[in-house]
Amino acid sequence: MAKPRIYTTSAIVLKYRNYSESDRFVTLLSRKMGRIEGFAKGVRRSTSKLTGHLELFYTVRITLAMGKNTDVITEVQILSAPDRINQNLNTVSCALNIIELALNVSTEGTGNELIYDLLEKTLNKLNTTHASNSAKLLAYYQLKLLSISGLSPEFKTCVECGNILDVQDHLYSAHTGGIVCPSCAPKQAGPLLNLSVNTIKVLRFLDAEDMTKIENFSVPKEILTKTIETLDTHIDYHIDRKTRSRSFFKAFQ
Amino acid sequence: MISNHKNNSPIERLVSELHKLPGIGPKTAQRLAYYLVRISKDDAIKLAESIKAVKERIDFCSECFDITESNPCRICSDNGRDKTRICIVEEPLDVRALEKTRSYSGTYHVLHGVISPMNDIGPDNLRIDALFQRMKLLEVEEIIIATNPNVEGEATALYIQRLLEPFQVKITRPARGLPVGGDLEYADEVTLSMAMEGRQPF
Repeated sequence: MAKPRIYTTSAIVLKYRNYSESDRFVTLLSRKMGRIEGFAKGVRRSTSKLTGHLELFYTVRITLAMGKNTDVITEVQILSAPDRINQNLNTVSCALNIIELALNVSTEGTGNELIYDLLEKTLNKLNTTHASNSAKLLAYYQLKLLSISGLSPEFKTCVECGNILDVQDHLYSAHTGGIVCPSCAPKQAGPLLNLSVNTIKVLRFLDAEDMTKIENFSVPKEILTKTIETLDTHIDYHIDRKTRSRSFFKAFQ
Repeated sequence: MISNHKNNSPIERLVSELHKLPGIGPKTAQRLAYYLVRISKDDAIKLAESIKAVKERIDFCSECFDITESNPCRICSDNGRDKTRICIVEEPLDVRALEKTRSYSGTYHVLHGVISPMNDIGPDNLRIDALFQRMKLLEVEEIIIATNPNVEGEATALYIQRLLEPFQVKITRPARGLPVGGDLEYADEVTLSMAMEGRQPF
Protein backbone atom coordinates (compact mmCIF):
# COMPACT_ATOMS: atom_id res chain seq x y z
CA MET A 1 0.00 0.00 0.00
CA ALA A 2 1.31 3.42 -0.90
CA LYS A 3 2.17 5.74 1.96
CA PRO A 4 -0.50 8.46 2.48
CA ARG A 5 0.50 12.10 2.06
CA ILE A 6 0.04 12.77 5.76
CA TYR A 7 0.34 9.96 8.26
CA THR A 8 0.36 9.53 12.03
CA THR A 9 2.12 6.77 13.89
CA SER A 10 3.53 5.97 17.30
CA ALA A 11 7.31 5.77 17.27
CA ILE A 12 10.42 5.72 19.45
CA VAL A 13 13.22 8.23 18.87
CA LEU A 14 16.45 6.39 18.06
CA LYS A 15 18.79 8.96 16.65
CA TYR A 16 19.06 12.52 15.42
CA ARG A 17 21.45 14.47 13.33
CA ASN A 18 21.70 18.24 13.34
CA TYR A 19 21.23 19.92 10.02
CA SER A 20 21.58 23.52 8.91
CA GLU A 21 21.07 26.28 11.48
CA SER A 22 18.25 24.94 13.60
CA ASP A 23 16.94 21.77 11.96
CA ARG A 24 17.37 18.12 12.65
CA PHE A 25 16.88 14.79 10.91
CA VAL A 26 15.29 12.40 13.38
CA THR A 27 15.34 8.60 13.00
CA LEU A 28 12.49 6.78 14.71
CA LEU A 29 11.28 3.23 15.06
CA SER A 30 7.59 3.10 14.26
CA ARG A 31 5.18 0.37 15.11
CA LYS A 32 3.76 -0.27 11.65
CA MET A 33 6.31 1.17 9.23
CA GLY A 34 9.64 0.14 10.72
CA ARG A 35 12.42 2.69 10.75
CA ILE A 36 11.40 6.14 9.55
CA GLU A 37 13.33 9.35 9.10
CA GLY A 38 11.69 12.71 9.58
CA PHE A 39 12.85 16.27 9.09
CA ALA A 40 12.22 18.43 12.16
CA LYS A 41 12.37 22.01 11.00
CA GLY A 42 13.47 24.61 13.55
CA VAL A 43 13.50 22.06 16.37
CA ARG A 44 16.72 23.42 17.90
CA ARG A 45 15.17 26.84 18.53
CA SER A 46 13.93 27.09 22.11
CA THR A 47 10.53 28.43 21.03
CA SER A 48 9.77 25.76 18.43
CA LYS A 49 6.68 23.68 19.21
CA LEU A 50 8.70 20.54 18.46
CA THR A 51 11.47 21.38 20.97
CA GLY A 52 11.77 18.88 23.80
CA HIS A 53 9.40 16.43 22.15
CA LEU A 54 11.94 14.54 20.08
CA GLU A 55 14.59 13.52 22.59
CA LEU A 56 16.22 10.09 22.45
CA PHE A 57 14.29 7.24 24.14
CA TYR A 58 10.94 9.10 23.99
CA THR A 59 7.87 7.30 22.68
CA VAL A 60 5.87 9.78 20.65
CA ARG A 61 2.81 10.03 18.51
CA ILE A 62 4.09 11.71 15.42
CA THR A 63 2.50 13.18 12.31
CA LEU A 64 4.57 13.42 9.15
CA ALA A 65 3.83 14.98 5.79
CA MET A 66 5.37 13.45 2.73
CA GLY A 67 8.25 15.56 1.46
CA LYS A 68 10.30 15.49 -1.70
CA ASN A 69 13.15 13.48 -0.23
CA THR A 70 12.44 13.19 3.48
CA ASP A 71 9.08 13.36 5.24
CA VAL A 72 8.53 16.47 7.34
CA ILE A 73 7.51 16.21 11.00
CA THR A 74 4.49 18.44 11.55
CA GLU A 75 3.21 17.42 14.97
CA VAL A 76 4.52 15.49 17.95
CA GLN A 77 2.86 14.37 21.13
CA ILE A 78 4.84 12.62 23.89
CA LEU A 79 3.40 9.24 24.88
CA SER A 80 6.12 8.37 27.35
CA ALA A 81 9.25 10.31 28.33
CA PRO A 82 11.63 8.04 30.23
CA ASP A 83 13.57 11.03 31.53
CA ARG A 84 14.97 9.24 34.59
CA ILE A 85 17.28 7.27 32.28
CA ASN A 86 19.32 10.43 31.73
CA GLN A 87 20.01 10.87 35.41
CA ASN A 88 22.46 8.01 35.74
CA LEU A 89 25.48 7.01 33.64
CA ASN A 90 24.74 3.29 33.97
CA THR A 91 21.21 3.61 32.65
CA VAL A 92 21.96 6.16 29.94
CA SER A 93 24.89 4.15 28.54
CA CYS A 94 22.72 1.01 28.63
CA ALA A 95 19.81 2.77 26.89
CA LEU A 96 22.10 4.11 24.16
CA ASN A 97 23.32 0.57 23.53
CA ILE A 98 19.73 -0.67 23.41
CA ILE A 99 18.50 1.88 20.87
CA GLU A 100 21.58 1.40 18.71
CA LEU A 101 20.82 -2.32 18.50
CA ALA A 102 17.22 -1.52 17.55
CA LEU A 103 18.56 0.83 14.87
CA ASN A 104 20.82 -1.90 13.51
CA VAL A 105 18.20 -4.63 13.24
CA SER A 106 15.24 -2.52 12.06
CA THR A 107 14.46 -1.94 8.40
CA GLU A 108 12.78 0.91 6.59
CA GLY A 109 9.22 0.37 5.48
CA THR A 110 8.67 -2.97 7.21
CA GLY A 111 7.26 -2.72 10.70
CA ASN A 112 7.97 -5.32 13.32
CA GLU A 113 5.64 -4.87 16.26
CA LEU A 114 7.60 -7.32 18.39
CA ILE A 115 10.81 -5.28 18.09
CA TYR A 116 8.86 -2.10 18.82
CA ASP A 117 7.06 -3.50 21.87
CA LEU A 118 10.25 -5.00 23.26
CA LEU A 119 12.10 -1.69 22.89
CA GLU A 120 9.31 0.32 24.48
CA LYS A 121 8.97 -2.11 27.35
CA THR A 122 12.73 -2.28 27.99
CA LEU A 123 13.18 1.51 27.98
CA ASN A 124 10.25 1.98 30.35
CA LYS A 125 11.64 -0.67 32.67
CA LEU A 126 15.06 0.95 32.57
CA ASN A 127 13.41 4.22 33.53
CA THR A 128 11.75 2.80 36.63
CA THR A 129 14.20 0.18 37.83
CA HIS A 130 17.31 0.68 39.97
CA ALA A 131 20.43 1.55 37.93
CA SER A 132 22.15 -1.63 39.11
CA ASN A 133 19.68 -3.69 37.04
CA SER A 134 20.66 -2.05 33.75
CA ALA A 135 23.24 -4.66 32.67
CA LYS A 136 20.74 -7.47 33.32
CA LEU A 137 18.14 -5.64 31.27
CA LEU A 138 20.60 -5.17 28.42
CA ALA A 139 21.39 -8.91 28.35
CA TYR A 140 17.66 -9.69 28.43
CA TYR A 141 16.99 -7.22 25.60
CA GLN A 142 19.84 -8.60 23.49
CA LEU A 143 18.57 -12.17 23.85
CA LYS A 144 14.95 -11.29 23.07
CA LEU A 145 15.94 -9.10 20.13
CA LEU A 146 18.05 -11.92 18.68
CA SER A 147 15.15 -14.30 19.16
CA ILE A 148 12.67 -11.98 17.37
CA SER A 149 15.15 -11.48 14.54
CA GLY A 150 15.54 -15.24 14.15
CA LEU A 151 19.16 -15.14 15.25
CA SER A 152 18.77 -16.68 18.68
CA PRO A 153 21.92 -18.43 19.95
CA GLU A 154 21.55 -22.10 20.91
CA PHE A 155 22.34 -22.92 24.56
CA LYS A 156 20.44 -26.14 25.14
CA THR A 157 21.73 -28.58 22.55
CA CYS A 158 24.99 -28.86 20.64
CA VAL A 159 24.62 -26.89 17.39
CA GLU A 160 26.75 -29.44 15.57
CA CYS A 161 25.39 -32.87 16.63
CA GLY A 162 22.12 -31.89 18.31
CA ASN A 163 22.81 -33.79 21.54
CA ILE A 164 21.49 -32.33 24.79
CA LEU A 165 24.34 -30.64 26.64
CA ASP A 166 25.60 -31.92 30.01
CA VAL A 167 25.57 -29.56 32.98
CA GLN A 168 29.19 -28.42 32.77
CA ASP A 169 31.41 -25.73 31.25
CA HIS A 170 31.17 -25.56 27.46
CA LEU A 171 32.54 -23.80 24.40
CA TYR A 172 30.57 -21.30 22.32
CA SER A 173 31.13 -20.78 18.63
CA ALA A 174 29.81 -17.60 16.97
CA HIS A 175 30.35 -19.15 13.56
CA THR A 176 27.90 -22.00 14.20
CA GLY A 177 25.64 -19.85 16.38
CA GLY A 178 25.70 -21.59 19.74
CA ILE A 179 27.33 -24.05 22.10
CA VAL A 180 29.28 -27.00 20.78
CA CYS A 181 29.73 -30.17 22.86
CA PRO A 182 33.26 -31.32 23.81
CA SER A 183 33.33 -33.97 21.07
CA CYS A 184 32.33 -31.51 18.31
CA ALA A 185 34.53 -28.65 19.58
CA PRO A 186 37.81 -29.82 17.94
CA LYS A 187 36.12 -29.79 14.50
CA GLN A 188 35.19 -26.08 14.75
CA ALA A 189 36.88 -23.72 12.35
CA GLY A 190 36.20 -20.35 14.03
CA PRO A 191 37.34 -19.08 17.43
CA LEU A 192 35.68 -20.56 20.53
CA LEU A 193 34.64 -18.83 23.73
CA ASN A 194 34.77 -20.54 27.13
CA LEU A 195 31.42 -20.46 28.93
CA SER A 196 31.17 -21.51 32.55
CA VAL A 197 28.19 -23.59 33.61
CA ASN A 198 26.84 -20.57 35.53
CA THR A 199 27.03 -18.29 32.49
CA ILE A 200 25.07 -20.86 30.49
CA LYS A 201 22.48 -21.01 33.28
CA VAL A 202 22.12 -17.20 33.24
CA LEU A 203 21.71 -17.18 29.46
CA ARG A 204 19.04 -19.89 29.64
CA PHE A 205 17.22 -18.12 32.45
CA LEU A 206 17.15 -14.75 30.66
CA ASP A 207 16.01 -16.43 27.46
CA ALA A 208 13.13 -18.27 29.12
CA GLU A 209 11.87 -15.74 31.65
CA ASP A 210 9.73 -12.67 31.51
CA MET A 211 11.01 -9.13 32.16
CA THR A 212 9.25 -8.99 35.54
CA LYS A 213 11.65 -11.62 36.93
CA ILE A 214 14.79 -9.69 36.00
CA GLU A 215 14.83 -7.27 38.94
CA ASN A 216 14.88 -9.97 41.60
CA PHE A 217 17.34 -12.16 39.75
CA SER A 218 20.76 -11.82 41.33
CA VAL A 219 23.82 -12.55 39.22
CA PRO A 220 27.49 -12.09 40.21
CA LYS A 221 29.03 -9.24 38.23
CA GLU A 222 31.68 -11.32 36.45
CA ILE A 223 29.09 -13.82 35.20
CA LEU A 224 26.88 -11.02 33.91
CA THR A 225 29.88 -9.43 32.17
CA LYS A 226 30.69 -12.76 30.51
CA THR A 227 27.02 -13.20 29.50
CA ILE A 228 26.98 -9.80 27.80
CA GLU A 229 30.37 -10.48 26.19
CA THR A 230 29.02 -13.74 24.70
CA LEU A 231 25.93 -11.98 23.37
CA ASP A 232 28.07 -9.14 21.98
CA THR A 233 30.20 -11.69 20.09
CA HIS A 234 27.05 -13.32 18.73
CA ILE A 235 25.58 -9.95 17.68
CA ASP A 236 28.82 -8.82 16.01
CA TYR A 237 29.02 -12.02 13.99
CA HIS A 238 25.37 -12.32 12.96
CA ILE A 239 24.15 -8.72 12.73
CA ASP A 240 27.48 -7.63 11.28
CA ARG A 241 27.22 -3.98 12.26
CA LYS A 242 29.45 -2.28 14.76
CA THR A 243 27.70 -1.30 18.00
CA ARG A 244 29.55 1.93 18.67
CA SER A 245 28.04 2.74 22.06
CA ARG A 246 29.21 -0.57 23.54
CA SER A 247 32.57 0.70 24.84
CA PHE A 248 30.79 3.59 26.56
CA PHE A 249 28.46 1.14 28.26
CA LYS A 250 31.35 -1.08 29.38
CA ALA A 251 33.19 1.90 30.89
CA PHE A 252 30.44 2.45 33.47
CA GLN A 253 29.57 -1.06 34.58
CA MET B 1 32.98 22.45 -13.76
CA ILE B 2 34.48 19.94 -11.36
CA SER B 3 36.51 17.36 -13.19
CA ASN B 4 38.29 14.38 -11.76
CA HIS B 5 41.56 15.12 -13.46
CA LYS B 6 43.85 17.71 -11.96
CA ASN B 7 43.23 21.12 -13.43
CA ASN B 8 45.35 24.11 -12.68
CA SER B 9 43.16 26.88 -14.01
CA PRO B 10 42.53 29.38 -11.14
CA ILE B 11 38.75 29.27 -11.47
CA GLU B 12 38.67 25.47 -11.32
CA ARG B 13 40.93 25.54 -8.28
CA LEU B 14 38.65 28.06 -6.58
CA VAL B 15 35.59 25.93 -7.33
CA SER B 16 37.19 22.83 -5.87
CA GLU B 17 38.32 24.75 -2.74
CA LEU B 18 34.83 26.19 -2.17
CA HIS B 19 33.35 22.74 -2.68
CA LYS B 20 35.25 21.58 0.43
CA LEU B 21 33.22 23.94 2.68
CA PRO B 22 30.32 22.46 4.69
CA GLY B 23 26.97 22.68 2.92
CA ILE B 24 28.51 23.74 -0.39
CA GLY B 25 27.71 21.43 -3.27
CA PRO B 26 29.33 21.52 -6.72
CA LYS B 27 26.72 23.87 -8.20
CA THR B 28 26.86 26.34 -5.29
CA ALA B 29 30.66 26.22 -5.45
CA GLN B 30 30.51 27.19 -9.13
CA ARG B 31 28.02 29.96 -8.45
CA LEU B 32 30.18 31.41 -5.65
CA ALA B 33 33.34 31.17 -7.75
CA TYR B 34 31.79 33.01 -10.67
CA TYR B 35 30.40 35.60 -8.27
CA LEU B 36 33.91 36.13 -6.90
CA VAL B 37 35.20 36.64 -10.45
CA ARG B 38 32.70 39.47 -10.90
CA ILE B 39 33.24 41.38 -7.62
CA SER B 40 35.82 44.16 -7.28
CA LYS B 41 39.43 43.26 -6.63
CA ASP B 42 39.32 45.07 -3.24
CA ASP B 43 36.40 43.01 -1.98
CA ALA B 44 37.99 39.77 -3.13
CA ILE B 45 41.28 40.62 -1.43
CA LYS B 46 39.44 41.60 1.77
CA LEU B 47 37.81 38.17 1.82
CA ALA B 48 41.10 36.39 1.12
CA GLU B 49 42.89 38.37 3.81
CA SER B 50 40.22 37.81 6.42
CA ILE B 51 40.45 34.05 5.84
CA LYS B 52 44.23 34.27 6.12
CA ALA B 53 44.00 36.37 9.30
CA VAL B 54 41.64 33.86 10.92
CA LYS B 55 44.10 31.06 10.31
CA GLU B 56 47.15 33.05 11.36
CA ARG B 57 45.87 34.99 14.33
CA ILE B 58 43.06 32.91 15.84
CA ASP B 59 44.09 30.21 18.27
CA PHE B 60 42.66 28.30 21.21
CA CYS B 61 43.06 29.88 24.65
CA SER B 62 45.50 27.73 26.65
CA GLU B 63 43.26 27.99 29.73
CA CYS B 64 39.65 27.76 28.63
CA PHE B 65 40.08 26.54 25.00
CA ASP B 66 37.81 29.21 23.67
CA ILE B 67 38.68 30.68 20.28
CA THR B 68 40.83 33.76 20.79
CA GLU B 69 43.17 36.25 19.17
CA SER B 70 45.37 36.62 22.24
CA ASN B 71 46.49 33.87 24.56
CA PRO B 72 45.13 33.71 27.29
CA CYS B 73 41.82 34.96 25.97
CA ARG B 74 40.10 38.22 26.89
CA ILE B 75 37.94 36.54 29.54
CA CYS B 76 40.73 34.50 31.16
CA SER B 77 43.09 37.50 31.34
CA ASP B 78 40.44 39.85 32.77
CA ASN B 79 41.18 40.36 36.48
CA GLY B 80 37.62 41.55 37.06
CA ARG B 81 36.22 38.09 36.27
CA ASP B 82 35.45 35.69 39.07
CA LYS B 83 38.12 32.97 38.72
CA THR B 84 36.52 30.76 41.35
CA ARG B 85 33.67 29.89 38.98
CA ILE B 86 34.07 27.84 35.80
CA CYS B 87 31.20 27.34 33.40
CA ILE B 88 31.66 24.27 31.20
CA VAL B 89 30.17 24.57 27.71
CA GLU B 90 30.17 22.40 24.59
CA GLU B 91 31.19 24.88 21.89
CA PRO B 92 32.76 28.37 21.60
CA LEU B 93 29.40 29.64 20.33
CA ASP B 94 27.89 28.77 23.71
CA VAL B 95 30.38 31.18 25.33
CA ARG B 96 29.16 33.93 22.96
CA ALA B 97 25.53 33.16 23.88
CA LEU B 98 26.22 33.25 27.63
CA GLU B 99 28.33 36.41 27.32
CA LYS B 100 25.43 38.15 25.61
CA THR B 101 23.32 37.70 28.75
CA ARG B 102 25.84 39.75 30.82
CA SER B 103 24.65 37.91 33.90
CA TYR B 104 27.68 35.67 34.38
CA SER B 105 31.01 37.04 35.55
CA GLY B 106 33.02 33.84 35.98
CA THR B 107 35.28 32.03 33.52
CA TYR B 108 34.56 29.29 30.99
CA HIS B 109 35.85 25.97 29.82
CA VAL B 110 35.07 24.84 26.28
CA LEU B 111 34.91 21.06 25.73
CA HIS B 112 34.77 21.26 21.91
CA GLY B 113 32.14 18.59 21.60
CA VAL B 114 30.00 16.29 23.64
CA ILE B 115 30.16 12.59 24.49
CA SER B 116 28.29 10.86 21.68
CA PRO B 117 28.81 7.10 21.88
CA MET B 118 26.73 6.39 18.77
CA ASN B 119 29.04 8.65 16.75
CA ASP B 120 32.21 7.22 18.29
CA ILE B 121 32.96 10.38 20.29
CA GLY B 122 34.14 9.46 23.76
CA PRO B 123 35.48 11.47 26.71
CA ASP B 124 39.01 11.23 25.29
CA ASN B 125 38.00 13.33 22.29
CA LEU B 126 37.00 16.25 24.52
CA ARG B 127 39.07 18.76 26.50
CA ILE B 128 38.22 17.21 29.84
CA ASP B 129 41.76 16.46 31.04
CA ALA B 130 42.71 20.12 30.65
CA LEU B 131 39.86 21.03 32.99
CA PHE B 132 41.37 18.90 35.74
CA GLN B 133 44.80 20.43 35.25
CA ARG B 134 43.10 23.78 35.68
CA MET B 135 41.21 22.65 38.78
CA LYS B 136 44.46 21.60 40.45
CA LEU B 137 46.04 25.02 39.94
CA LEU B 138 43.09 27.23 40.81
CA GLU B 139 40.92 27.48 43.88
CA VAL B 140 37.59 26.75 42.26
CA GLU B 141 34.40 27.07 44.29
CA GLU B 142 31.75 26.33 41.71
CA ILE B 143 31.54 24.41 38.46
CA ILE B 144 28.54 25.14 36.27
CA ILE B 145 27.97 22.35 33.77
CA ALA B 146 26.15 24.14 30.95
CA THR B 147 26.07 21.35 28.37
CA ASN B 148 22.92 21.13 26.26
CA PRO B 149 19.87 19.66 28.01
CA ASN B 150 19.65 16.60 25.75
CA VAL B 151 20.75 12.98 26.21
CA GLU B 152 24.33 13.55 25.05
CA GLY B 153 24.71 16.76 27.05
CA GLU B 154 23.31 15.07 30.15
CA ALA B 155 25.64 12.08 29.72
CA THR B 156 28.61 14.44 29.43
CA ALA B 157 27.46 16.34 32.51
CA LEU B 158 27.11 13.11 34.50
CA TYR B 159 30.53 11.97 33.36
CA ILE B 160 32.16 15.25 34.43
CA GLN B 161 30.25 15.22 37.71
CA ARG B 162 31.60 11.75 38.46
CA LEU B 163 35.16 12.83 37.73
CA LEU B 164 34.81 15.98 39.83
CA GLU B 165 33.74 14.11 42.97
CA PRO B 166 37.25 14.06 44.56
CA PHE B 167 37.55 17.85 44.25
CA GLN B 168 34.59 18.44 46.59
CA VAL B 169 33.50 21.48 44.64
CA LYS B 170 29.97 22.85 44.28
CA ILE B 171 28.52 21.57 40.99
CA THR B 172 25.50 23.27 39.44
CA ARG B 173 23.52 23.08 36.20
CA PRO B 174 21.53 25.91 34.60
CA ALA B 175 17.81 25.89 35.41
CA ARG B 176 15.36 24.39 32.95
CA GLY B 177 12.00 25.92 32.25
CA LEU B 178 9.83 27.84 29.85
CA PRO B 179 11.41 29.95 27.11
CA VAL B 180 10.56 33.66 26.99
CA GLY B 181 8.11 34.22 24.15
CA GLY B 182 7.10 30.55 24.12
CA ASP B 183 3.65 29.08 24.57
CA LEU B 184 2.81 27.04 27.67
CA GLU B 185 0.48 24.95 25.56
CA TYR B 186 3.31 23.82 23.30
CA ALA B 187 5.88 23.12 26.02
CA ASP B 188 6.78 19.47 26.41
CA GLU B 189 5.83 17.60 29.59
CA VAL B 190 9.40 17.22 30.88
CA THR B 191 10.25 20.92 30.56
CA LEU B 192 6.90 21.90 32.01
CA SER B 193 7.31 19.65 35.04
CA MET B 194 10.82 20.99 35.62
CA ALA B 195 9.49 24.54 35.32
CA MET B 196 6.87 23.77 37.95
CA GLU B 197 9.40 22.14 40.27
CA GLY B 198 11.79 25.08 39.96
CA ARG B 199 9.20 27.85 40.37
CA GLN B 200 10.27 31.01 42.15
CA PRO B 201 8.46 33.29 44.65
CA PHE B 202 6.73 36.06 42.69
